[in-house]
Amino acid sequence: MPPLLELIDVTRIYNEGSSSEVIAVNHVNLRIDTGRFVILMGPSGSGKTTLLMLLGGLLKPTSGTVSLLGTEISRLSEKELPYVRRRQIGFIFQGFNLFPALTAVENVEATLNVKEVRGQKAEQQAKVLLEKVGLTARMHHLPEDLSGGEKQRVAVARALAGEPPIILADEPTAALDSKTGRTIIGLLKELSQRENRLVFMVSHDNRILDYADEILYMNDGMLLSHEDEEASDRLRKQIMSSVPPPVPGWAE
Amino acid sequence: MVSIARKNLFRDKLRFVIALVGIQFAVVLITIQAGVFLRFLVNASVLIDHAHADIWITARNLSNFEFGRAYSDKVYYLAQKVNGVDWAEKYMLTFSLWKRPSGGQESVELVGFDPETMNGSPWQVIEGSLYDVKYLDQVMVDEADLARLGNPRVGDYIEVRGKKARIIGLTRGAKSFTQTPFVFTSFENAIRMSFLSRGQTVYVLVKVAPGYTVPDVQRRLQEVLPDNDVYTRQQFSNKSRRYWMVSTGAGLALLASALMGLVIGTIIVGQTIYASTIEHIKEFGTLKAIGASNADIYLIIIKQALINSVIGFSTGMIIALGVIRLMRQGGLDVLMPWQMMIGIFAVTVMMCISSSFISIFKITRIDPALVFKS
Repeated sequence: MPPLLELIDVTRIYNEGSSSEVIAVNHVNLRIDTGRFVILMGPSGSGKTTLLMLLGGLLKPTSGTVSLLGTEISRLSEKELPYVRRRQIGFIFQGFNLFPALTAVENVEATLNVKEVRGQKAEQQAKVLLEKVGLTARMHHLPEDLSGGEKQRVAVARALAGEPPIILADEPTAALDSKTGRTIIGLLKELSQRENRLVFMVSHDNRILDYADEILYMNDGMLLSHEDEEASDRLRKQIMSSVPPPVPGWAE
Repeated sequence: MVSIARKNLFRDKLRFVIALVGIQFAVVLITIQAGVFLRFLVNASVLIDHAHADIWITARNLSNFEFGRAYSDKVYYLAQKVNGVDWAEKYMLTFSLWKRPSGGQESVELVGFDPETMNGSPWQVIEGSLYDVKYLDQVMVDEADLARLGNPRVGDYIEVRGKKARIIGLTRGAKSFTQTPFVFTSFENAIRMSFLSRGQTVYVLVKVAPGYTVPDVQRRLQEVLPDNDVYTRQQFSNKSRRYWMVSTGAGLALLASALMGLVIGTIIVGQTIYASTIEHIKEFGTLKAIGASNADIYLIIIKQALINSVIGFSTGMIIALGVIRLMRQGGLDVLMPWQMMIGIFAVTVMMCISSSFISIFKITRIDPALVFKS
């Protein structure tokens, strides 16, 4: 049985060959199985977001392979990739990225439409997903009328649309207060456990580390190996020193 | 199905209104210019097209129908003898002077036809009997020209080139390209009221006898009448239209105005759709991330263009029809056949879709990292 996600010797270089060449991801190897809650940490510019884009099929590696359930998605054409994203991946963004002209339920419904679920079936599924994230009462509100936490709940519901086995989240708590952030992380953790999904999250936030099944560290485009505990520990301390102290009550 | 296209479009109300104004401007300008162009095109050969003649004999090197030159009516007698000619008739179209009842003069075009056969006569009479023009100094005028002729009424006596004449009826839809009023009467009356002398004619109309072909008879007539030009009806009609539309540049000027409307409309709509696309670029990026293909996103932009075009065309056409009504009241008839409306709708749709191409081009180059920026 192939792993859910596998990266073999993946490198991604921006502006290759020019004077402004940047190696964002440098010979990364990674295997992740389903049902895990993985947090990727690292300082700004370490290549976390690029790695997330590679995992999501939004970016192709300069070298190496990215496989999803044994299918090498890094070799797929631009026409084939949207199909993979529709079926296998749900995204959660730091800035929520909701459609401002659509209500909460329409936001989820529109995503289901993209994933080829249409009509009343889409509407019903959207309502069920919003219920799952505890937003039934606010489903007919526009994003501008929702709080940050509510918006992120809509984004989580949207990521779950179409039941993808992989949820990729880019700093989903960065724009939220600590209490709301904790609730959202708790929700994602629960989804990962209850629905056996892989949640792969990029974060700067050391306060959520306790939720993770696995913590990965990245620095200068390189993923620090599990065996390299000394380097990981050093990096963890570096990251922890770069974020503000926890808000009282966060650790509860 | 949730319509992101429609919801986004109606959310940006100001931008939507600006796009609509752009489309309406284009629709109104194109409709009026095309309507005027079509009306002028029809007017340029209206009498030729309504006459039941197969062949027109004219003076040599005539530029167009309305600038006919007189020649000897011997041509008429010679033409009658040519093999294949069923009948030939003298026909007049010449400028004269109309004296208004209140004083002052107006240029008119006298149309003289044979009242027995009615060839080349007005085709729509709304008051009076056309047969009565065979009587001495009886004339008919078009209802649209009444104001220009000093608002005479049917039964009034007026003067044409110093000859007293009586208006015995009104016609409809008989307008010349030059907008000079037509005055219809018998050929005999027309001779008296014009600057022509007896023994002259301006045109000879010919009907080809059954069993003969028009080109054959045309060729024979040309051989017999080397000092005249002989045209088939279609040739003469085309020549007159071409003169006004191409040689004088009038048609090109109208088309240029219509084209200007199209270009301005395209720019306004294109700019608005592009600005809207830029504003929603992150949403398009998000759609791509969640699995929408480029085609799905193009469809949203094209759908917005289509909604713009349908609403812009409908409201623009209402405005255009109002303007046309005012123009008709002012004496300038504008043609608006349904085929032209469909054509303008097609042009509007094309304009809006082509306006969205720049946006589509922009979408194809979305940086995927865009969706991860807060």
